[in-house]
Amino acid sequence: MSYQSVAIQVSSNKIQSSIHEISVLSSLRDPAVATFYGWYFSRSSKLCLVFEQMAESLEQWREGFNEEGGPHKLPEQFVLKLCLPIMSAVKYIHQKGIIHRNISLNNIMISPDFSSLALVWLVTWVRMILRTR
Amino acid sequence: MGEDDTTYSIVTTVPQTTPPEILNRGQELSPTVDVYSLCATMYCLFESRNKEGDTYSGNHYPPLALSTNYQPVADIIMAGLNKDMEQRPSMDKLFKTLADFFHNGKWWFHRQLPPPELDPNFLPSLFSKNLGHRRSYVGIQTLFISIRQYRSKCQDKLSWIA
Repeated sequence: MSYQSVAIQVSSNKIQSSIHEISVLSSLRDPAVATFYGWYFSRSSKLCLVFEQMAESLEQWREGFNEEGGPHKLPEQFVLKLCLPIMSAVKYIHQKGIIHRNISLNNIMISPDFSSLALVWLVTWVRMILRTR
Repeated sequence: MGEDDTTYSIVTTVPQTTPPEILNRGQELSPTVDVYSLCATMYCLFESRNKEGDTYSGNHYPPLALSTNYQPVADIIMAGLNKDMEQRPSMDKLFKTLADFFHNGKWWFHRQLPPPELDPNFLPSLFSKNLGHRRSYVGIQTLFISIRQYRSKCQDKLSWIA
């Protein structure tokens, strides 16, 4: 048996709106979208959403990068390569009729080996994770 | 002065990636909100000295200083940071411009890192080292480990380019 870490988001909204958001999450089936594992009710009857867990945000990585004595500015081609998958993911969600509204360095998550890049996003109450390969 | 006359002002820190129309409540939002946020995020990454959370006065961004070959990238990012949402490029145009620029390899001629220099004697020595006991399990295991090390060595050097 193997175990996997997940991210759990507790929803404080009404059930009616939650059902709509869950249907939106479930409809995002794309290689760029991380798995939405499901939902459950906690003992205190709160709706909990289960997502894939990522390591750290891009802002945290950049701070660590600067502390380790990295270059003053990141290489330009590296930044471009980093941002293209995120742009592809945002383009995809726009095609689904969804606006992120809160893209920032803190909301872009990465894995330690840069094998996957994620866009964490807050639509009203839901924290959604978009993963790009 | 009575208590009712007291005025309070709430000071909050607005992230610099927040577009102006988010702050103007009641204004209808469009996908160009994400264009602004994405361009601001890229601006932060290109200009590493500006940390997120630092606020510019009136969301005014100084021109992005990139290499000469990267001028199209700087232009499209500054266009995406326009306060007027009508003047910003669409997400499709932003993605197409940057993807074309990246995949056309225009940056290749201006790469900041030297080309990868791999030791030409590394790979032959890798095989000769395992030649004596190539039939044994330990020999094969060592060979695989050596190949893996060689691959990781290559990837470390090539990851900045490919």
